[in-house]
Order: sequence, then structure tokens, then C-alpha cells
Amino acid sequence: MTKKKTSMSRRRFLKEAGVTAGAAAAVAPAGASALTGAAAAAAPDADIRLAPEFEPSRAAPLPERTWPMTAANVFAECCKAEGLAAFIHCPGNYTVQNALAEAGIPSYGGRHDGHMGHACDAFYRVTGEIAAINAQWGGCLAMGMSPFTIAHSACSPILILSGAGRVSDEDTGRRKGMVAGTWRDQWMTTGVTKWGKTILTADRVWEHTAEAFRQMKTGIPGSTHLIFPNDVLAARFESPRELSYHYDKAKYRTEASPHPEPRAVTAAIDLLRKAERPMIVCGQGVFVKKAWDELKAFAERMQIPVTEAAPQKGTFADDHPLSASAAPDSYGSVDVVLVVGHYRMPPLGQWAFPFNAKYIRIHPVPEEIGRDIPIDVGIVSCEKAALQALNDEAPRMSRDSWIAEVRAAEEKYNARRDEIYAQCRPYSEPGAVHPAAIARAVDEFQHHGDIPKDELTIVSGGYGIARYTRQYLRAYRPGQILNGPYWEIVVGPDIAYTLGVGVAMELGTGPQAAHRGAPILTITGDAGFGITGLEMETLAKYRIPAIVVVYNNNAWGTWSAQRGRAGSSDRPRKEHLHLFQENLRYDKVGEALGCHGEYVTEAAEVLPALRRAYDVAVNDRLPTVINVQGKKEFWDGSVYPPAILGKVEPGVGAYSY
Amino acid sequence: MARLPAEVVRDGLKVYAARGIFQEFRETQGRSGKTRFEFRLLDDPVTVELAERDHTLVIRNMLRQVPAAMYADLQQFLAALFDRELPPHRRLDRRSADVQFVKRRGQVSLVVRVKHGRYRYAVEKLVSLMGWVRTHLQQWHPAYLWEVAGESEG
Repeated sequence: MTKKKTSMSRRRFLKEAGVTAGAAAAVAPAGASALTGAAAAAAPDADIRLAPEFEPSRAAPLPERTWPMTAANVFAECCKAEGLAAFIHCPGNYTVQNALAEAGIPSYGGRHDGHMGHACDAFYRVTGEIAAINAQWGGCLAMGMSPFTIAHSACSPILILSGAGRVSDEDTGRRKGMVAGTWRDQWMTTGVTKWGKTILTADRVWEHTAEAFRQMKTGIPGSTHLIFPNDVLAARFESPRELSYHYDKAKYRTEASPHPEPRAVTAAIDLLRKAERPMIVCGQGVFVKKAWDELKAFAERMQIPVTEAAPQKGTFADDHPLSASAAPDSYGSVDVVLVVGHYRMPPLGQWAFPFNAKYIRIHPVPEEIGRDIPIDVGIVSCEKAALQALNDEAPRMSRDSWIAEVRAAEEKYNARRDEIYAQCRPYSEPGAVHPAAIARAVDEFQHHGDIPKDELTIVSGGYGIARYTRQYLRAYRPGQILNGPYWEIVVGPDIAYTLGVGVAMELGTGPQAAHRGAPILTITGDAGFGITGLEMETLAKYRIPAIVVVYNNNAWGTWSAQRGRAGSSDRPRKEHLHLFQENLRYDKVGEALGCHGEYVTEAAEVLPALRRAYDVAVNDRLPTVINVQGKKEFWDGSVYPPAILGKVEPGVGAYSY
Repeated sequence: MARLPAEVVRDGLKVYAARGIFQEFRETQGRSGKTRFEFRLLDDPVTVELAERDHTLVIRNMLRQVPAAMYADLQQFLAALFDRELPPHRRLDRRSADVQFVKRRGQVSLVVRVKHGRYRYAVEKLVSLMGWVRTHLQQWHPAYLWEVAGESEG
């Protein structure tokens, strides 16, 4: 049975309020929610509504900022000059927070500091542009440690900002952020940042901010952390001359990039020319350097198939005739692998290339080349410059039989995927939808309806469910898919990632510009929803049109490996640790947070629910939680084979590397 | 003068040791004229045993604690590799070698019976099979890799 619950939806609210959506929109300020004005009249019903101050605040004119300025404003001006693309945070460290917001940096406020960190990470993964997070200090900053760690592994730079006590109180223990002369908060991010600084000298605030951007924007991307003691922030400067350092970015960092040694290029071309079955692995560096056209030109010239391994997908379109991302069976044939811009090489054996394959690696710094996997040619270079140089020297080639083998491997992969669906289809029953049915519906939604296949930006998260949906999800443009569990294999950030992607889509940042405002599709599980699900409220508040599919199987993904024997009444003492209450209503949680909710208990209802959610996203600009009820027993391979699917890396099915 | 089988196998394996794929590579003489090549691959110990008298190369106990259903699947996987429709670089050629899995007490060994002295072919396919089997397990038997081989989930 399928139920559709929309009791708190905007649509119903407007109907009850006697106001049509169109009429409401017509009276709302530009970019404002139609709810704002109407909500006041319905206050006795206590319906969910935006605060009347919300939209006017977002549309308020920026204050004119001229000298004299506080150190906080000097900092904000430097961020503005550097093009800081977004500021996603929870209230705290107010002087810095307000300075950034009033400098015109697009600003968003959410519910949990950690979630905001994930949102900043996600923003970078799909745009290549930097966002900032701000925390009060200590405990608030500590909540960000999970996202800072994950962003570090994904090489997503985040500008981390936090407050502190007063420098003059150092050693007294009277102020937070300082303990007995040690700058505690700086320690916290050491190891997951590229650089950090507690700003002790107010007139150097521009200099330290400049250093943060130099670190983030050159070399291998990584986060930086600036700490602002209160007395530093309060410092006031009559003019730039009072700053010890105040230069344009052209003076303190360079846009120049390392170019490849000609002999290394020649050696690589020689190896690729002689190779019978070469393959390119496209890493995040190609996306960050916006080198997708160079990659395509080079691959086409030498007829080399391309697969992806990165925190984002679509840098090389999955529908290109040379795409090998959905052809995992072909990886075992490869004789030369060209790895370009992959900042976190996996250990040997994690990619499915043969042990006798030779490796060419393009990387911006030499220290990483040769780590983990032996190399035959190393090219120290910016990815874009290296691909241009390779293309300049490459002969035009044809590799018809190899390309045919790759295409056959893709057909085989798709055929197996369909066999898995056919095998699992009978498993779904009223009240329990099998993941294969969700995956199939997502495929129909992305590829076989009225929506252009490149329209949705996708947060591909979840654990067990991911192994099914990734068989079908495809990326056709740079940054179309965010690879959630990349490297750290976490499922929790999915809803927070959705916020970061939502900000990118609202702003149309970087390669998302052509799809500005387009809906977002998120795949997650009940475990993931439990960790960052409260950010559905933030999505609703900012009217971010996200469609969040929650596969609700009543348990952590870990249950399958920790459960008791199937059919046995004896349960191991540990099993309860992996269980949730059953039949939880995440759709109602969504509704209670101001979102649209869909509750799906039958396989046939997944696709209609997706389409309704799309309508809500497009017409009402509201997020939706689609709670698809499954059951944990689907992961028991003795009853429901193949249960949790395996995966081959790299490519569409991969997420670890 | 034809090279001895041990030389061919040694050279074939040493290529991987020289590249850092195989680590701690060493060679010992076993009983009955057998030559053992021992090394670590992906942190696991591997022993390749050459029995010239039997014309065999064996990876002893390549997989441990193999359930019956998985063993049956592995047999099917191996049989499919002899399909003449496959391209030569992905195919096993019966004219050069017979290849089979042998299971004893849950431990599965890979046995390559070399034909016509084609040891070079045999050692190349032996190494390829180590990779192909691993990919097959990653794709179709992830729980085995987590629960028996001790690999991390994810």
C-alpha cells in the first residue's frame, strides 16, 4: 500500500490559506518564498512557515563598506577579492560571520557545524570553488572534525574560521580557545588541514588571509584554518596604510602552473603508442583544473578509453563512445594506465587493472608520484598543461578492436545489471521494497522520462543501496554526480552534502552555471538520514529543490555482517547494536521540517513518487523526503541473493577510490 | 639451448618483484625436485610451486575457507575463461595449459598443468589469474573478502 502524506506541504498550506501559489509568488519579493506573506495570516494553525524577516534579510542591500575598517572587515574584503564563493555555517564567531555576510559573500545558515563542513566539501566537489565555514570555537569547531577529515581525504579545500578569547588573556585560562598558553583550537585541525594560523597581530590580517588562499588555490588543494582572537577582530584601521601587508592577489600568489618536461611527454606518448589496450583514469585534478576539454581531445586523438575515480563524476561524460566507466570487465585487459589528477592513489589491488599493467601518472607535485603503485613514467605538471602537451605530441590513432572490447564490456555490465533486477524483482512485497526496484526506478527517472538526462545533479550516497543505484546512475557533464563515500567510505554526510550541492545549484557556481536552479537527486539510507537528516530543514528554509530518497531497511548497513544465523532464534549479544526501530517515518520527519513527504511501501510506487517530488521541486521549490520502506533481511544472501553487491573500481560502481 | 622451466618461471615472476608488485621474493628448493617461489602480494603470502616432473605450477592454498557455493561459482568462472569467443589476452588456451581449482578441506589451490613446455605462457596466465580472481571476488563475493580475507568493508 502506498500512502502520500502531504499534510504540511506548502501546496496544502496555500490551499487552506486561500492563496494560489501563483498569486502568492506574485506578491512575494524577488527570490522570496511565497509563504512569507501568507503565513502570518495562518499563524493560529501553527503551520510551518518562513519567518517574515527571512526573505527581506536575504534581499537586504549590502552596507557600504569604506575605510576605516575593523580587522574583521579587512578579512572579509580579502575573501571577497579572492572570490570566496559561499559561506555555509552555523551562527557563532559573530564578528567574522557578519563581516562575511555583509561583504556580499553568499551566506547560508544551517543546523549543525559538522553538517556545514560537509556542505562546504560538497560545494567544492561539484563546483571546484571554495566555501568557508565558521565556528564559534572549541566544541563547535570539534563538531566539524568529521567533515574536515573527509574533506582532507577528498582534497576539498574548506576555509575554516573560528573564534577565540583575547590574546591578552593568554595563559590565564579565563577565555576559551586558549589553555595555558597553548592554542588548543589550532591543534584540533592540524593533520586535516594544509595550513593554519591563529592571528595574533591585527595588522597582519590581510597577510594571513592571503596565505590561506595561496595554500588552498595552489598545489594539491587542502583546507586552511584561521583563528581570530576577539581583540584582533576589534582592531580598527583608518586606511590600508595601517596594515603591515595589503596587496592584490596577483602579488601574493600566482596562477602559473607547472608544465611537463618534454622528455616525460615523449616517454608517455611512446608508451601509449605501443600499448594495445591503454586506459585513462580521470581523477579530481582534471575537474578542479577544468581540463575536461583537453582530456576529451587527447582521448579522442589517441582513441584511449577513459574511466573515472574521483569525489565527483562526469568530467568525462558517461555517454561518450570512449567512456569505460560502465565497462568494468574491460579493466582486466588494460596494458597501460594513464592516471591523471588522482590525488589519493589506492593501494595496489583496489583497482581492477592487471598486475602487469604499466602506469603513467600525471600529478602536480612530484612527492606523490610512485606512491602505492609503481610507475613507469611520471609527469609533474598541472593536469590541463600535461593533457595539452600530450595532445600536441600524440599521433592520431585507431584502436577499433580495443574500443569494441570496451563497448562489449559495457553491454555485458548492463545485461548483468538487468539480470540482477530480474532476480530481485520478486523479492519486493507490500511493505518491503527491494533496493533493485529503487535502482530501476531511479534509472527510469533519470533516463526514460521527460527530464533531460543531464539535468539533475546527483548526490550518490548510501551504503548497500548505493551498490544498486550506482549500476544505473550516470553523469553527462562535469560535477553532475557527487561521489559521497569517496575514500573515507562514510554514509552520514549525504543530506549535508545535498545542502552544499543545493547552494551550488542556487548560485550556479562554476560548471553548474548552465543548470542553475535545477533539482538535486540524493540517494541515502536510513543510517545516513539519521546522521545529517535535520538539514532537511535548512534545505526547506532556502527552498532548495532536493529529492532525497531514503532507503529505510531498519538497520545499519553493518547488520548483514554482524547478524545472527538466518532462521535461528538465538541472537548474538552484539546484534542489537546494528538495529533501528522498524518502520520509522522519515517522510514525516521531512514534513515536520517543512518539506514534502512521500511514503513508499510498494515497488511500483517508487517512480511515481520520484515524479511527484520532481513536480514539487520545480513548481514549489521545496525539498522532498521519499521514505522507501525496505527490510534488512534483503541483505541476507542465503534468502535473497545476491544481497549486498560487490563493486569494481574505478568506474560507475566504485566509490572508495 | 632451451631454457630450463625453473629459469623461465623465475624470470617471469621476477619481473613483478623488480617492479615492487611482489615483495620479499625468494626461491627455495622443495622435496621431489620442486621449486618454490615465495613472495607477498597485497600483503598476503603467496607460494608458487613448480613441479617440473609433473609439468605443473601450483598456487598452494590460494583461497581459504571457501564455501561450497562460492567454489562452484569459481569453477564456473574458470570454465568461462576457456571460451574461444574471448579475446586472446583474456582467454585461457587449453593447447598451452590446463587450469583448475582444487579444493581440500576448504582451501582452494590453483593448478596449472603446462603443455608443450609453454612455461612462459603459464606463468603469465598464473599472474593474470591472481588479478582476475580478485576482481571476481570483489564483484560477486564481497562478504568473503570482508569476513574471511579481512579486507575492510566499503
